[in-house]
Amino acid sequence: MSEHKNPYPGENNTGHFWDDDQDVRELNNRPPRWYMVAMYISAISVVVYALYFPAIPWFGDNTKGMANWSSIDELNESVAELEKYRQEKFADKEKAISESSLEEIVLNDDLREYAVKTTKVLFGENCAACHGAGGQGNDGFPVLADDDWLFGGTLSAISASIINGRQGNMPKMPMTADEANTLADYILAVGSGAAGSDAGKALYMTKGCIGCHSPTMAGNQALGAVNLSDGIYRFKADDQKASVLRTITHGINQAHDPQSQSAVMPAFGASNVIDTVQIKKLAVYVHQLGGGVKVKAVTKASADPRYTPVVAKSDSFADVIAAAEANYKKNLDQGMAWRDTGKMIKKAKKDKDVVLAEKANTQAVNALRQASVAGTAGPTF
Amino acid sequence: MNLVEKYDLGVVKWFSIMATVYLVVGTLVGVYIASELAWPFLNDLGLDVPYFQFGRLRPLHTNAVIFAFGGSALMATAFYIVQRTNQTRLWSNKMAWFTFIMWNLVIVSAVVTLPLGMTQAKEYAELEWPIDIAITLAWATYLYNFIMTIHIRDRNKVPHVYVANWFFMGMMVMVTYLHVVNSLAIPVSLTDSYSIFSGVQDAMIQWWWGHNAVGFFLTAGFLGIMYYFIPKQAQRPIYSYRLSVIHFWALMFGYVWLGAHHLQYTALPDWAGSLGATISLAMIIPSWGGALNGILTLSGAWDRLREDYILRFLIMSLAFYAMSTFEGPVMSAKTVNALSHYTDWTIGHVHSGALGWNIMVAAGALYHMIEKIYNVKLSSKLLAIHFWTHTIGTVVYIVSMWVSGIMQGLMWRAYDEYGTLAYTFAESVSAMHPYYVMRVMGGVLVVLGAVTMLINIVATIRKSGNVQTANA
Repeated sequence: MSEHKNPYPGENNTGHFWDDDQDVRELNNRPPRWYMVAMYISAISVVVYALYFPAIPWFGDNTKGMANWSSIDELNESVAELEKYRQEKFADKEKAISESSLEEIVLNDDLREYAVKTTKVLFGENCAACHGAGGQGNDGFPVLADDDWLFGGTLSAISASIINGRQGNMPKMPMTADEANTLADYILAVGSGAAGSDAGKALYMTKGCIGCHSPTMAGNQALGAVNLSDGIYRFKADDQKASVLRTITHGINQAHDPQSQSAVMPAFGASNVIDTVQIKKLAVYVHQLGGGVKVKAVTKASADPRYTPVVAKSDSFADVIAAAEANYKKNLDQGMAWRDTGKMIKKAKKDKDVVLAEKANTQAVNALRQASVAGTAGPTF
Repeated sequence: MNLVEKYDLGVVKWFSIMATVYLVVGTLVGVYIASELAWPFLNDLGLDVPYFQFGRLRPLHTNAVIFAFGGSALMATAFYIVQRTNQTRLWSNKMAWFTFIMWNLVIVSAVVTLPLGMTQAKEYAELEWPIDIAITLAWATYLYNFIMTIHIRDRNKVPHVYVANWFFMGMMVMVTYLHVVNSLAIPVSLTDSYSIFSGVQDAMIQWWWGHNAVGFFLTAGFLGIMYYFIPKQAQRPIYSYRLSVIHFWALMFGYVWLGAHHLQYTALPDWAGSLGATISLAMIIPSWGGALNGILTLSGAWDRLREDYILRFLIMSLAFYAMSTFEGPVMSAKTVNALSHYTDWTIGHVHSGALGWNIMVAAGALYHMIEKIYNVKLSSKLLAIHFWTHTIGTVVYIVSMWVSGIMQGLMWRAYDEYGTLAYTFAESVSAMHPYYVMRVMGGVLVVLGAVTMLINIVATIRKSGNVQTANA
């Protein structure tokens, strides 16, 4: 309606009016000066930025920019800076680790501490997804922080596990459903410390179990055959009996049976992510998580009171459970408690079970040792 | 003459109502997936089915808020503004209804296919090819109808095209182009297809689309909303015609270049990444043009903010708009990007735009239209409740993601005294937990606000007895 009279006399508008009420209109104001200045600066900054960084495609190539910057150079420079820092400060230790045997590393306080402290994240990124941040295990994945080992807890056995990986192997055991049921009951009974039925024992002795798991049920680490007498289950389940039955009737890693239990650890020696020094460090790290077989000399306990375990005054239930509870409390304070300890203490108190109380105490002490070298699991700010 | 008799407003009403409904649904799904991140058992609920997993519901959330809510709000406002500012009915009311039905069919099929896991795996373009074709149909009719409506106006009565229409047109043309190119794919079955681009080119095309879903769909289109509803609600003239011309063309030419800033420090060539960052930094001032023009429009009428909650929504949205269009370019600068990329900071940035800018400006516009079309007065008490729950919820959301994102970025790059990484990735995840809980609380406030909006609109219309007019 530009040719019409301005309905807003005295208003500096453009003379265009819209909408039913003719009330939508625009003023003739100039944009604020600071705005226009900023706009010109923006335009200039485009040119400057584009000249400074590689920004313009140019005859099959591109301009390199005055900064001569590239993202791969930036990465390489950062890595070089880091490598330089590591070289300056720790080249001697890295060299010592690469030249020492695993046993030598463990017996040398300085080297062992260095190996453990530089391996927390390595363990966290490569092992913890299955074995837990503190090696406390997960359903289907063995605990690394106790002394119950499938393939052995010596430094060389641990190192071999990391380098070559491990594949469990157990055939499905030929027997009737009733027999499998009886056998499962027997295995669970022995695991819990009871004697178990004679019928179960007879099945165990005659159906081919002893070939790998031995007549004493102690297993055989050379074969990776699990110890059946200690009540520690690698295939942990809410319904433990169903899990044991499944293992008996479908075996482990039986390729053609989808019900078969799966037990595979990848070979990290073949990985191009972890080098040989790092594998050594990981072996030492796993060894000290709690259950590694002792290397000649006994390692000194940490003097820090936060990590010093409370020792039970006697073997009586009351003293043992008191020690377990005190140590577990320290675990909680450090955020390094293991998954089962609390439950075990509760159950032990309910059943007045001194064996279980001792087990809980051992776990709590192991967790303390772990905390003393590895620090707490969570980040602190 | 009565508005309802003068224009084709039925389709506007239905798009407005559906936008409000989709706002409730979309934000609700958002709160659920935010809760899944804070409490992972919600992914599965012990049912052992994949349909509620974060990966399945996340695209449902983004599609629901951007395309179901945002799209419906854009269509409602576009069809309203184009008629009123050009003083003419729609070129084709039937075609507008076709757009409405098509668009809602697209949304329904998204709700079905995404939880079933049918996806092109392109962010903000997840829907499979048959749905992409339906989107194209809905969108092309929307575009054509809009342009034809401007075309058929009485040029003696309305010689000039109002600025809001430029923004809508720019948005519609660019989104057609972006959507069609990014969705080019070879179908292998009704529910599966392969992008015709491969490797880094596919990534570049994807982010050319991805950023412009923000740049055109959620910025240019919503600036169109702002340019009509702020002067109407404030009863003030637009501050500067010249400013609107400058920032319109700067936005139109600048925004399409930005996509590459999403792919810095990747396989994308360095020059493409820094070109994206260059133009991004240069876009702060053009983006601010819209915020400035809207806010200065209020000069001489600031007192209206005291009582008018609809105006508050519109003005507050500009504050968030100015903030997030500053934040985005800063995040695209190489040094900042090295820290912020892949962290929650990005999520916080997106939501300061989506919650602070898009929802607020659209809510203001929808409230304004409902009052005009139905000739009613909405409950100002409920408006106030919506305004405050939404504002507080948005601030809580953004702040928690800022803290979480920056902490994440710092934890990932932290080295200890031995020159080895200080934290495992899992440790950074567990450190996020408190902020994820905080985000859920912010989200809950936003949902409560959206529900208040729906109640306010539905109850006011029912009480007024103007439902009949509504169906005219």
